[in-house]
Amino acid sequence: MTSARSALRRLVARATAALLVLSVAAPACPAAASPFNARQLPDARVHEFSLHDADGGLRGNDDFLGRAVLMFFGFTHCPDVCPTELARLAEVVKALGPTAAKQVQVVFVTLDPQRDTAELLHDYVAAFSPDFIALRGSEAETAAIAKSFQVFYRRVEGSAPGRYTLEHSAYIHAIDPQGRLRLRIPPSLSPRQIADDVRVLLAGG
Amino acid sequence: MIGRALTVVFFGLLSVGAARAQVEIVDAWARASLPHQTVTGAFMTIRGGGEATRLVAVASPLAGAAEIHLMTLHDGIARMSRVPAVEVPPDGSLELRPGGYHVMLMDLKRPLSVGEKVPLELVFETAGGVRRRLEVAAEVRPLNAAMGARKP
Repeated sequence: MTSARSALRRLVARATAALLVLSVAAPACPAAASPFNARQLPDARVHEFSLHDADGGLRGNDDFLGRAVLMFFGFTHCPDVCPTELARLAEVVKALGPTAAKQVQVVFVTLDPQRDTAELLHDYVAAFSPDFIALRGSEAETAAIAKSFQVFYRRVEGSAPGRYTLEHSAYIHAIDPQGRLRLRIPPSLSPRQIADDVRVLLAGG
Repeated sequence: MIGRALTVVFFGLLSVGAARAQVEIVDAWARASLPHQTVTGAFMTIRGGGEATRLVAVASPLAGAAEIHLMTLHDGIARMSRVPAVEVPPDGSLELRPGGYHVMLMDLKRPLSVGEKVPLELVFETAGGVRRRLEVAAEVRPLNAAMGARKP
């Protein structure tokens, strides 16, 4: 009787221990290990670039070291995704609060240098935040940075010349304070989730 | 929102047909544009009038051309395509909004400023081929108006 009871007690103890191990092990599975909401790129590395800002000056990776960069590739003749994403990026900066916001630079890179003049780009990003900057390259430079960042874009002809539009990736690219491209942020993430990811990058994550 | 059913201006008959469908347009707005920016989007809710109807054409005196476009987001790629017509559900609503169907105003004759009204003309066609023209004044909202934004 006693031995039967102790055997039962041992069995219960073992089952409890097994459950405990399972519940502790669960959060450690690979899918949940990332501290980021967005997808982390497998190879964190610097993608060199050098493009012109609205004042004509050249801006490259080194100009943003020590800050996190949120980069979006788009075009001003985009009625929909680009204004929505830039408005979301303004929300991200707001969600970060004034101190962390100073350590973040939002950069809009045009995929349509033909229509997006420096002046238009300046006014366009200013409509979302005075702190945002826009960068522009030649057609070849634009193609090069898009290839390096794996940003898809394709010109689609419209009903008349000049009415063309672009199909393009709607991801936000996050660069860490060491200048390494780290995250590809999908449009499905909320500004708060993006702000959380930026905080991890700023904390050296 | 019903209180803001402010944008319906008047109905005009293109053809003399006794169609009963009374589609209604509410909350029409257009995104502000900048100098040298030649396109922008216009958005609205189109309420069905109890009869099968399609939106078949759009126009504005402030745009050289206007088209119905559909924005899709698939696998992170944003695509825009021109569509010839869109069904308005007889007993429901067709939403023209950022991230979906919208009126694409092209070859803008001048920049659109926040607060002004952009005249839009929408042409609907019933299953019986009766065309009806509806004019609305779309309020221009800031360039940074968010997805599905409503007037504050």
